[in-house]
Amino acid sequence: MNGALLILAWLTPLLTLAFVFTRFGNVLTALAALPALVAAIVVTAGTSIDIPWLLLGTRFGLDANAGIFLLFSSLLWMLAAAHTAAQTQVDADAVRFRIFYLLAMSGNYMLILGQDLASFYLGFALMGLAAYGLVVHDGTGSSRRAGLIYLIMTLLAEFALLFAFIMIYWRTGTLTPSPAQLIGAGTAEISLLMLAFGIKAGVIGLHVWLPLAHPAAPVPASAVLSGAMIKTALIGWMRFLPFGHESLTEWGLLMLVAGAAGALIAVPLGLPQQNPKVVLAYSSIGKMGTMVCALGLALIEPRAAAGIVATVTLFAAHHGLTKGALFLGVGVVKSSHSRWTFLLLLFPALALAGLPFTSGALTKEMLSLAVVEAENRWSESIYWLLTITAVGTALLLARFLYLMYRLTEKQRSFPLLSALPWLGLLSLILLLPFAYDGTPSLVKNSLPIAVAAVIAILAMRARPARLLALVGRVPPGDLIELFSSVNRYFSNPTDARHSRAGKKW
Amino acid sequence: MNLESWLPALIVSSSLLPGLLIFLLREEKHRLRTILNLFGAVTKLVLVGMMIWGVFHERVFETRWTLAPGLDLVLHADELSVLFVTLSTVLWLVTTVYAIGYLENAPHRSRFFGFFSLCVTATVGLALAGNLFTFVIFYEILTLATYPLVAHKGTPEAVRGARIYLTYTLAGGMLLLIGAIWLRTLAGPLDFAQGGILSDIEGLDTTTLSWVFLLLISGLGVKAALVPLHGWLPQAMVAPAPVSALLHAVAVVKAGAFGIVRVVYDVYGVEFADSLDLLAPLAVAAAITIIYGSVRALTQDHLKKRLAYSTVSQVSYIALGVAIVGPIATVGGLVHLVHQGVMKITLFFAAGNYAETLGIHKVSEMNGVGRRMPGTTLAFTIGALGMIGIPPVAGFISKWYIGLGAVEAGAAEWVMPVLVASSLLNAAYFLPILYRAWFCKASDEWPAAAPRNGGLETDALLLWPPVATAALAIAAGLFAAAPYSPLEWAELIAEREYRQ
Repeated sequence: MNGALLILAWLTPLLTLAFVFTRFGNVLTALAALPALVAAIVVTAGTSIDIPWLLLGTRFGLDANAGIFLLFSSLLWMLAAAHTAAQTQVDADAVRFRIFYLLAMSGNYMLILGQDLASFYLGFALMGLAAYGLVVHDGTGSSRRAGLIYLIMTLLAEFALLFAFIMIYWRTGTLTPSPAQLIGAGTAEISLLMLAFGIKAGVIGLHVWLPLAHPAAPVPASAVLSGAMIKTALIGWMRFLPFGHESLTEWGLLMLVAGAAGALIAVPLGLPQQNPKVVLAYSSIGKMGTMVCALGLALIEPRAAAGIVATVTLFAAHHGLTKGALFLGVGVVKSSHSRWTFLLLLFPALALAGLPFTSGALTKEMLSLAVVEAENRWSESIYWLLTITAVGTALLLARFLYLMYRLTEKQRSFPLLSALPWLGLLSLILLLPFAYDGTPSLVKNSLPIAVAAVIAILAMRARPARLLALVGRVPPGDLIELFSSVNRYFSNPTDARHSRAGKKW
Repeated sequence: MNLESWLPALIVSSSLLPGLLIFLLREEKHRLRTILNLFGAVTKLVLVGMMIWGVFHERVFETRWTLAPGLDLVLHADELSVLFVTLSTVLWLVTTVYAIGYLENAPHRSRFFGFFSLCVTATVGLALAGNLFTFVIFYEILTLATYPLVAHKGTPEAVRGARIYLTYTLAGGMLLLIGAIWLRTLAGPLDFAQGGILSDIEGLDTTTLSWVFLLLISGLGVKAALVPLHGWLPQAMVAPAPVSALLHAVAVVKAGAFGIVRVVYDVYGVEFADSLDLLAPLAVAAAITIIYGSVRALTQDHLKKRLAYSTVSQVSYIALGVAIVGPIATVGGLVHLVHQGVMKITLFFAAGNYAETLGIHKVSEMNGVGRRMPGTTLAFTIGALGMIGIPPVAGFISKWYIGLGAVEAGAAEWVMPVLVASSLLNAAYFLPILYRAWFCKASDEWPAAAPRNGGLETDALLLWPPVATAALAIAAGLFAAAPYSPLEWAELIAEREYRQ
């Protein structure tokens, strides 16, 4: 039964494809995520099932970390789909959206559960390509541009991963390599893994697709993109690098530095943005940077690897759910303009910023502890990075809230029915702290938020001309602007061949 | 008179006899012609099924006629011929169904189906050929039987395309013939044998053997569309869709690729050919062809022409897999022989459907076609994704094994960049088509829409063949590790080739 659940988890979204045309298509799309959720709760870690005739011979299985990934990912897929179900009616565009949504969902589950190279790759490719359909959904010029850049980066990642996997298979002689078998990887193999998952994770330099794709996609798609899909890079690294068995100092240092750079640079790049979803996208780049940085330390210190990897997983769960709630919140606020929805939005924002007693504070504390326990020469630097980026995150979220507040008006009623899935997600985040251990310090976690609040209030009061002049000056996707030919191609967004009535959630 | 000695001949005649009878039929005998066609195709399928079972259990099927002392016409079933015969037979059945629907009211149907059957007979004959002499005979028959099919429409453009086709292939056939005769005088009867035959023969001059190899591969390379011998293929797309489908997937192009496999593995022997330094140049030629074909495909607006350049590129994966020494690359090349066929026939069926149903011939006319013809476009999508190498479609398995084989042979440094570049290029010329079909809004009017009959998007006989082959393309990838899959069979061949 447990084994069958591991299959049903990714098979159900595919089977649901047959029903997307019916009038219950929207509800069924949300329900399609249910078997994965059940599997994440019911199936005990260590369960696996072999299907020797599928692909090159597959194994689906669940370990403790994968179980957590499956849990928060399936929650997000379900609630984000429920969000659309509450907001739209049947039309051809909605059907197409559901098809790509279900395909991406299936791919996401398949790569979490796929223990062999081929099924992981299938899941990775399926998810990556299907998400293209979500990014370009509204058909505007900017979405098509975002889609093209997303697609090019995704294909690069996929082909890099294919050849990394071919090398792993050749070297280890098995489709299901254990961490011990992964010892002794060559430069080419690890470079390809870094490239493939670096793109997916939005590591700085490879992140250009992320601030474009997130705002282009409809709200529920942004939620799963940021909450679930970019997190798969972490699983990829955890599964195919020899964590805990071999110290790869140079590679670890590379991840550490690149991750830290991303965590820091995301703040100045995100603050001048004018679209709240772009601000959230840069915040995701920053948070992913923090996690990549911690994984880098784990790669340097095999003794501490297990602890750091487990903590990063918990951190990913917290970030996935809160970021998902923020993106869905954008949709709820935009459709209702209600002040009440704005007040509720404060809650996941503060959780992400790490207010005491929220999952943000707890996971940050756990990560600090794991980093310090590694007793590496870099431990202290990372500890300080976590503190500094806490201020940065809080600032980004202040900017986000400011932009969101401007969308609200007085005397708008609260959209109870259509906000129900969102409220569900918010209550999960409310309960999330109880899932984590630890007693975080009140002062240490309040301080960054207080500092950020003071800066934000001062900035709003004084409105210094020099800072205001920067607003809107950083184009979303920053580095991609260097490739101006891409822009010329899309310079005419109302191109008659492509334009279509956009559908917004 | 037992089955072992008659089965190969029966398989060849199961399309030859119906073909000859069809020539005699009057044009309006639609029903009888259809019965003959399908009877032949189904009979062949049953016979091939028996052969698969037999060869798997290491039974020997051989038909041999001695024409003159030392000159035998041999039909022999080994694992490799079974792979190709099965592909031809299955796809012939599907294409026959498609052609019946496609040529519903066209003139000269008897002539068409007659040559169509001859074309398949020649393909199956060269698949079963047990020595180089027999192979060359069927190779030439194939050239001649295909010519009237390419010229079938009779327009000046078709006649021109067919003439270019004939010029190229006859010249190629000549090279092959000279090479074969030369080798025959040097080495005696050239019965194909796994592991090759030349390495066992004493006193052969290696330089001469290299020249002969060049002649043989050049002759075969014309049909296999190796650059710079590929010029006829994009011109031959003037042929009716079922002909293009068969030509690109099974018959002509594949005959060339299959011939290269035979010459390398069963005449020279892969290790012997490698010791003569013949395989590295072949690999380079294949790599150049892979990239060149993809680059040319990028700029073609004519859908069938884009597909034709894609074939130029994709068929050379087979040659590349063959030219990389080692059992894993062999598996990759051989399995691609089947995979490319199934995927490419799907694409050409779909292209034919667009042309027949809506008058669409160009990529730029395909905006929004996915909503008008979802079944056809879904099949096209599967074929295109497979060509890029996206799992679970079959092309992924080919790419996996060729890449793995390159690592095994220590050639990863240059093969992998070629594969990555080719995959990206494939994506660059296929994905924009898919984008247009699924995401763009349809223009107000299709170029030449046929009146819609019934609830289906197009004629049922046109719709189901691409859907069926698309399903096969997914099945071949998704169930690659299952018994009797193309992959398992290719592994069986590689295992027996390298067992020596």
